[in-house]
Amino acid sequence: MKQIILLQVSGLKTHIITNGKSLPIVDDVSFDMNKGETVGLVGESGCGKSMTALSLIGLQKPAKIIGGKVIFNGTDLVSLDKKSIREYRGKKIAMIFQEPMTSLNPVMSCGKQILEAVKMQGELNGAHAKQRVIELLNLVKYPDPKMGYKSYPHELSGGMRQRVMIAMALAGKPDLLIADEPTTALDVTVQAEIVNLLKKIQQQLGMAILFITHDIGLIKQVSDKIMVMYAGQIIEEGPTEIILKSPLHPYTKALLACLPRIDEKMEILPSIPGNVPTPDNYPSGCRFHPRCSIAVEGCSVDEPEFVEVSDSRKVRCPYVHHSVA
Amino acid sequence: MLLNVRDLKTYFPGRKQYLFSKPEQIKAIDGVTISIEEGETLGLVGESGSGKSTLGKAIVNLVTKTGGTVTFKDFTDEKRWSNSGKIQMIFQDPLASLNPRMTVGNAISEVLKYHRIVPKYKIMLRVKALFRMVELSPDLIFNYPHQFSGGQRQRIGIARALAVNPELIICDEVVSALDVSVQAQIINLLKRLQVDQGIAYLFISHDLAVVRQIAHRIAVLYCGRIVEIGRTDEIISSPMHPYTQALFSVASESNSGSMSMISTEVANPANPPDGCHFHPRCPIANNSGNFIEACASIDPDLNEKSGGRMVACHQI
Repeated sequence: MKQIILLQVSGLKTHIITNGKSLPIVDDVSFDMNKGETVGLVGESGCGKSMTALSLIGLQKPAKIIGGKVIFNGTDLVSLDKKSIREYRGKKIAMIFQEPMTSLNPVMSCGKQILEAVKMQGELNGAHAKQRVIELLNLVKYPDPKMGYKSYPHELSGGMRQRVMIAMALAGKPDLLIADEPTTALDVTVQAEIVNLLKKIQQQLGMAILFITHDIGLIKQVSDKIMVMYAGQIIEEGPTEIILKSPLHPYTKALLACLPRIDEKMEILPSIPGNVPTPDNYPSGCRFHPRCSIAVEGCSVDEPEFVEVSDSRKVRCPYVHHSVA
Repeated sequence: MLLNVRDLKTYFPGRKQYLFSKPEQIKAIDGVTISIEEGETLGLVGESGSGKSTLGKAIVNLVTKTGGTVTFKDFTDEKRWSNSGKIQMIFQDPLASLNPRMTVGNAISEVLKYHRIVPKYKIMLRVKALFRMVELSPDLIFNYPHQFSGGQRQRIGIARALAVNPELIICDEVVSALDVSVQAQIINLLKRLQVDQGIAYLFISHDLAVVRQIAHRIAVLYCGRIVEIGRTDEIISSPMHPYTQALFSVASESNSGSMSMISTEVANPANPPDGCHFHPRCPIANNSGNFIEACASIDPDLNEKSGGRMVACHQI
């Protein structure tokens, strides 16, 4: 099967300017996404994963994109002005967020809110638009779409609210859906349902999903490819199964090791010493070196390059390359 | 026996149907009986809305009990032990429980002053000792809460709870807001403190994998009632109640790939189903819309099955 490239991000840099200092939140992030592919972006809080997603669709304010390109279907989104980016945002690229309650209008029925999104597309009106809302609610497996149309966000459970959000995002038949921690606020049983739903819809509509999460266990079920982020940089990238089975970067290794497992009990859980660094005091050299178990003297000086080590696999650490056959 | 909770009930007034009608009752906790031994960790799991946090709060009297008794050690008078500070509680978001305008050292010394734990001139020494206990540098006592990271703040929360030499700490989702790399540090710290000082924990969490790592016994709560309670390894390896089975299959299969599911309609504590609260979702009781009669009409009791294992289900 030939892969068609949908999104190409190269050298994306997003900085926040506070007290006259320019802090790198997203630092030189590059990746490609194919049509219909699911890419997982994993990292701990504050590593810049949400900011990366927001930068793609021009919602990064008050931060500033100071460099790089986001090429979507041949157009560089970074260079577009406010008006022209709206042709993409919410239409060809849609986004869903973690807490649906904060993204929904509490005094407007769910149906009306989805209707707004449908009308925004500028194709349907009146009864046709309403029909489309019901279709969308059916698509997200809302149990009773007619009731759902009339209900208000506070009357719904978390899972149902997230379905409404997904329906809204799908209104424009997007080519790319950015899902920023869509299941984090939900119970495990509901989480499983939403993930399955997203997968099913993806198969039906053939859209690509950029799935952002801090939960490595979840990423296994959704994505073909994962990217691990640490301190504003992508430090490892590759096919999901291979990375989870044999991670190369010491951070990825440590992160996987400290996931609590349900099937075995450990007396002392492995953990990563220290804390996640904040953008105003990133360590020099490799940003992971103060917490790294294999760091050598040079690590605090030389910034490691993000290099391809084998087919479609990249790592930002010079000391792991030789271990790959 | 350190803590004994007998038939605890906590009802909240809900919505009124008419202006002068009695408000309906939301049965957040509906007859829970648990006990915790000295130096033991009891994990309390359940979906959101099952009443986990309310149970924790009811034990320390942060919400009023509607019925039932809580006895702690050999204290008979509840007022006396609830003021002794022997039971402490730690919450999910430590930033919300620390005063932003008070240095963390002061926040902890307040506890020492109130409970008169040490003489005044020794307070600072004790604060520093507590910081060392939770693996923080004692130089940090003059810093303000915002200067710490999430993991460090949770350590401060733990240090403050330790200040009064508690025998039981109720941990309400203490690691849920933390990153995995830091989460493991905090769990290790809690375990070490238990070994060193013999503290018992009531560990409330929605994350079964975390509970697995720390709890000696697990109690599963559904809609205000305990549906299963037993030793951790037994519950994990052979869950008996259909709800526990479903819960654990979702959690463990997230480690292997495919997922089996129960319906996600959680029972509403304001208007719980008759009989077993779980029967509308239950794969055993629900045979495509036809329910087994006993499940739909009679409350199941929590019966002992084998060696301390208790299950509330008619079909087992």
